[in-house]
Amino acid sequence: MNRNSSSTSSVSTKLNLWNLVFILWVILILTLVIWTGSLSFKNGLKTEIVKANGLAWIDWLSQASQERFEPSYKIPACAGQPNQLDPVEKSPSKKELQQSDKKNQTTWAECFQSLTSSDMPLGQLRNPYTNQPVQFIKKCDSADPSLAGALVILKILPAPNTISNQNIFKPLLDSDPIDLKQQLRIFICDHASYPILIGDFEF
Amino acid sequence: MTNQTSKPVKDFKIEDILISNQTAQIDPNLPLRATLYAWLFNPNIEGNYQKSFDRWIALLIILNIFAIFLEDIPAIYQPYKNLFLIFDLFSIVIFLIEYLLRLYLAPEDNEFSNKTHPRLSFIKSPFALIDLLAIAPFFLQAFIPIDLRILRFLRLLRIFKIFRVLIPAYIQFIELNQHRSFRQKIHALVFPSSFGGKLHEIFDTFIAIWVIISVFAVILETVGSIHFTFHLHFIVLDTIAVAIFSLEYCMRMYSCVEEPGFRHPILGRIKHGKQFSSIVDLLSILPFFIEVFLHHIVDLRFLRVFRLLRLLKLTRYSGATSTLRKVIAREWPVLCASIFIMLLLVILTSCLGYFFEHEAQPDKYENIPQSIYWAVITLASVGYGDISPITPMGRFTTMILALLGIGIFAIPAALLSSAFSDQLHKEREEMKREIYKILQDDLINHHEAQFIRDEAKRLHLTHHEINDIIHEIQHESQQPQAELPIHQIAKNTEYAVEHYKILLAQLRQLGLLTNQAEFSKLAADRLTPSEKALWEKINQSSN
Repeated sequence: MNRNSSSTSSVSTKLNLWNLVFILWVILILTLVIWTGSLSFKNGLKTEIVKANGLAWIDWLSQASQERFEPSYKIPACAGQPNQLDPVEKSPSKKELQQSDKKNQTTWAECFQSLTSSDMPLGQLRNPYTNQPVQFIKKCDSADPSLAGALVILKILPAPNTISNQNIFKPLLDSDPIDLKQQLRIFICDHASYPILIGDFEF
Repeated sequence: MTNQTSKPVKDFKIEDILISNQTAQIDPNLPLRATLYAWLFNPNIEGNYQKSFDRWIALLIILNIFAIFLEDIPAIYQPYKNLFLIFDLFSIVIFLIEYLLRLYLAPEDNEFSNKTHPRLSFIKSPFALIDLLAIAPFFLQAFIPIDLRILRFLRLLRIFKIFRVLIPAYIQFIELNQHRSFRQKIHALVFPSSFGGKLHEIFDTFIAIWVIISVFAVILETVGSIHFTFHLHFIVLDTIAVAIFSLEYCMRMYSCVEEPGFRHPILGRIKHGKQFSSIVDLLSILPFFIEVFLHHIVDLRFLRVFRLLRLLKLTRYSGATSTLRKVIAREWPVLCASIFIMLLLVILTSCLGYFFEHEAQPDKYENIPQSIYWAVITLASVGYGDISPITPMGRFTTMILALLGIGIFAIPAALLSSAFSDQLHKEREEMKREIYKILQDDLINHHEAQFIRDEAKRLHLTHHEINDIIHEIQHESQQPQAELPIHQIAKNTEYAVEHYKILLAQLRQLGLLTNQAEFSKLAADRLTPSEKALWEKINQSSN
């Protein structure tokens, strides 16, 4: 206890100029904190929209994963081969992939284009940071702020035998064929272009 | 009823000093209502359950506030809906019991006892209205269908119950700080002083609670699924925490000039700002701003974890960390020396490891930095085994290194441990001196007893140890003066005069017993003229 730390004698109990300066300073600091917090909150709200975009993609693609292997599937660009091999049970070998009919092979670019056309539900989704349609990128990069709000789709590939219990993640490229069932993972890039995992699904 | 004035030391039991919650002395023949009031609500009786009762009610109010906010989060509320309902029911029962007890005991309360209708006066009092508001919505919903949102808003009124704790503390604070300036009041609120009272304790508790909440939030944020669901809630929580910590920091920087050693308006504040606790305060708020404005320059993941530094704010409330700081500062040169020896050993052995193993395992012992890694892992007895020697000389070096490591790594730990114990010993000695001062007037008052209690707690002294210290001091004070150290004799004028008489008598005795002729011969060379004159004067008076 430090009773002598401040004297009690001959001091004015009224507010002086410096007291008012302090009060103003505190108000300024608190305003700055609240303003910074509101900026952060606005960014958070935008990130929530991007998350919802990611979830919408997962919902749509997972739902389509069964239907797209039926012969009468409505979106031919995303249709799969009806007699495809289930990658969970057996991974397609290079030979099997070569044997598949290249003429009938659909690629991710075609599927993506048809899914994001304005008449499709996923085509309505916007990136809240740019107010542009959702873009897919290879990877989030915190050094590039223009990637905020973008989506990343990774292919989950079974690991080579030497690495046990691990998967390999590779970006889904435009040229990648999608006529076979595959495991995918979606990330979104937040306001600072850091990745946030949305989920894994089968397409 | 406990006497708050000074008591003679001999009448003070050690239990009185050490145990603040000593049993209250309440007349057992009092009627039931008076007994209940004395035990539960009378703030003037030391040792009754009033403080504990208030503390538990305050805790329940805080838990209720948390529960009300958590209920707004469906991801938390939905799975644990029943638990929330049970907790709400439990709180209502406790608050209802409290209200009914206060109503029943109102005629015993000094505030209402002199009124014509004490219970009616109680019902109309602001605190009772707040208490009623806290429980009324629960009963209202049983009879009137109320919209859930309105009900939640009404339940928020429970927050006002906290004023039952805050208002008396505020009144006490105002009384303690009468005729003091605005800055002195701010100082009393944020810094420990005798002007702070209960409100300062509440302020400290409030800050500590927010430190714990924000650190807990930072930890939970790293769990992906939790962060995914509660991202926005974490932003709001962090903003509130930073607002509170910023306010605290401003208040500390503004009022630090009231502290001794920081009086200068600019230099004092700079000096205070450079203190460890102030730097921690600043670091606990900076990441918030950097995250928003400089997130493209600084790694956000690092900044988020950096917020855990807020935990260091709690060190302000712990004596152990300040002791450790003192120990490290005191032993710094020795620690540096031992670190130097450690570095020397690491460099030398890693060079040897590289020399012996590079040819045999060029991929593992590729260069000296890689060998340093191997040397440190071996010296620290960790031994991951990812890099291990295969040549005979390499293995021999490893054996020597491992054996040396046991001793070398133990040196700083042993140094710190012994210095820590030494520091504690010093602080206990310091405390002993303080207690000695307290007991000098053979009286001990409430503040002095509180000081002994606080120090005993800070230095982790047991009941038995503090008892021993007091007995030792009492024993010392009863010792003959001659056996007392000179500085203790000098403090007491009566002792000083008596001691002077004893010394004179001893000199006279010396003069009578010694061989005067030989003494004079030797003294001619060894004593100054004034010392010789004094000796002759003493001997003349004895003859």
